[in-house]
Amino acid sequence: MMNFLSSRKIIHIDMDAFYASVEQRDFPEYRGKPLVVGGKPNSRGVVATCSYEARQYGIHSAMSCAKAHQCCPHAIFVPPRFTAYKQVSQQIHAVFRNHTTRIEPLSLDEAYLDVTSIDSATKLAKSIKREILKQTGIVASAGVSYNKFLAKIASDYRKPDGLFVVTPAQGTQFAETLPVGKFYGIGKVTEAKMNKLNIFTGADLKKYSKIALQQYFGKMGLVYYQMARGIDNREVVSHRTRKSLGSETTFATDIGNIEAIQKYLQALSSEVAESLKQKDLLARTITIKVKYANFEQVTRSQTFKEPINEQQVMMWGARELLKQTEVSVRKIRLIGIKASNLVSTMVFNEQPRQLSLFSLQIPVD
Amino acid sequence: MKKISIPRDSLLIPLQQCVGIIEKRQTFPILSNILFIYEEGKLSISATDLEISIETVCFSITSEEDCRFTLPAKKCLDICRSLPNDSNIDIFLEEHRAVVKSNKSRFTLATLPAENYPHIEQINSIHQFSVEENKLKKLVESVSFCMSIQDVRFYLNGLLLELRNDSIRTVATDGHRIAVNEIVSDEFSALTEHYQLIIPRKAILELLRLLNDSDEKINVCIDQNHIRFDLPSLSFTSKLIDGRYPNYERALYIRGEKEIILQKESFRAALQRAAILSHENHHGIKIVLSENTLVIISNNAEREEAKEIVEINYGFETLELGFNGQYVLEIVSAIQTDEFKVTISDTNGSFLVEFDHESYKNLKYIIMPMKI
Repeated sequence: MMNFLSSRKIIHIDMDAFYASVEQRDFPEYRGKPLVVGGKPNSRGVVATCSYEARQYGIHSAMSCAKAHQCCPHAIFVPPRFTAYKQVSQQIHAVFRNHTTRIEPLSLDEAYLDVTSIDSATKLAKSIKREILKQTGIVASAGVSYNKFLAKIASDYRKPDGLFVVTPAQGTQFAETLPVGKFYGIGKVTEAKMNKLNIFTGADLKKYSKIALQQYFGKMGLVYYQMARGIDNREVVSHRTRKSLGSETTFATDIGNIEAIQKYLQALSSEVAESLKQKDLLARTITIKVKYANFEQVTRSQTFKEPINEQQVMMWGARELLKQTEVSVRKIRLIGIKASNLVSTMVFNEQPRQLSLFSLQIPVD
Repeated sequence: MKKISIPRDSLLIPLQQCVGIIEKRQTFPILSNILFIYEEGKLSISATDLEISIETVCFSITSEEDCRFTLPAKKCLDICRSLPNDSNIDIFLEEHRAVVKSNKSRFTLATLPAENYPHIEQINSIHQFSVEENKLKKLVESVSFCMSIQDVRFYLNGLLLELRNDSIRTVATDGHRIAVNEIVSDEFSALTEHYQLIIPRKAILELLRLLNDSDEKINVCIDQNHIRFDLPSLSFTSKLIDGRYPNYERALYIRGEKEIILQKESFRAALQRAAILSHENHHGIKIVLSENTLVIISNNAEREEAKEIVEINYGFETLELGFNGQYVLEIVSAIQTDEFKVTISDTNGSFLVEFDHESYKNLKYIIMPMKI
């Protein structure tokens, strides 16, 4: 099915072992060694990124640091340095901007570029890789295809330092050979469910009708149906409006002390309020998230009459919401706070302003 | 095994009254229960959420001995409600459970020990007054909808009760609008010189559910931290909000010569229609007064527009005012008289609603304008 969407050209750029590569660049003593960026060994933290040397020992991201330490006792563990990563991220975005304005960042080190208007996307991907290496000293992999789904898989296909192209003619066949776990939106749970239905590859998926997939997988069924045929109509969205802003902490040991929890909330709400202010945003809704020691998770939220970005107000709301959880009687392992229903300060200030009967102070405690 | 027999119809109302205050989400399991105490031939049924408590009395009970127990509130009410009228309920108390029997129905409920039920605090009253039930209801109801909800300025999330020299006054505000009502009577002259207390929002809403239109006298007792209302068949206690209410009296002082008389029903209907196209975030509406007409205009984010014309008696210069339409609509909807008087402030364009009617002459609403 050729339509205007299958004539797009999309590049997916993904830095190789990003955090670990930055560390190895800045600290020569880490080079050639198994390196884990993330929590401390034997802690409950997780691996954020690990070097390719560490991957040989079976370490992978999101693995617990304790497990990683077991896999490779002599691995070097370092905490992440986000300022350094952000700086590199800005450099690579500057490279992207030299070639296109249609950039959709996925994370610090990953982005889609829509380069439909350019003659050879493959040549461009090559030169972007080269420029990134020159500017930052870090290697990127690139995938080139006619949609986001295939471009992303392509960038992963020949990692590290990879460049892989899936042309419209190859797309359908390429999707058929893929294990379903690689598909967009298919995680471990869905993969296991598919395996039970004897679906292991794109080709297996293709045997199921649209209706059958929708029955099994709901809304996503249609997406899977299309991806199995190499179709993905999602656009590259360059200005995604932020929907929420939040922060959370996992404790080193489970906490049952409400004052200690409130202290953490205090810090988290300051952080969220600060970043709202930095981004000139106000939030109408705040949500707190509590994960109990047994991993059961609850959220409680409150919507304000007027949008806010004051830490005191946020903390007041958070404290009220905390009362609606069982923190006073159960231990918890994680606390988080999120601001959503965002409106820019500018837009809000342009809205009609309600006058007040009297000026009232926000109570502080 | 202890046994207590209660006619279903005399149990139902006390249960309904109690269940209202019980929170659905409970940290302490016992707070989902209702406490039953049978002593000296009288059954008291009570509930608390640690802020508010209700104690009711139930009659026509037969039991051979005194007993205390708790039952899950919601289930107990659902059972009682669904049993036929005029049926009789027998409760047999066993350890950790109670068997509820009525005719051919039988329910086994889990109980929790009555001695663990939170103690309902007694009041050492420092102030006390009595007022007819219907008057109290009107006094509270006429202002209660202006209370704040979940406001960080927590003292606004309640209703101010003010004991004055010869009157009692209720005030509610969210900072944008304010409602004030007052009962003046010589009976209160012995009361006190100006005493203020703030009753939490939830207690006010529950109290309104419990108040009837009778003219029986209700006794109200107040101490430092509590207020208790002794209603004909129950007593209702609430903790007070520990905070200082804003100095609202200055806000009540409005000077303006531009007065209009509005018909409640036609103005309310016009506002309601205009609200359909008001902005969903700020509900702003424009009110334009010109010779003998009042025009309501609303616009939404999609730039759609509603326009309503109301005929009035008005002979001053043209005035264009902005308001939160929701505030105006809520106030007008609460009005119980056929017509009311609006005064537009000369200084800031705020909107004062007053009444000529004898029963509402102390009721006032003020809405602050919105800069549209």
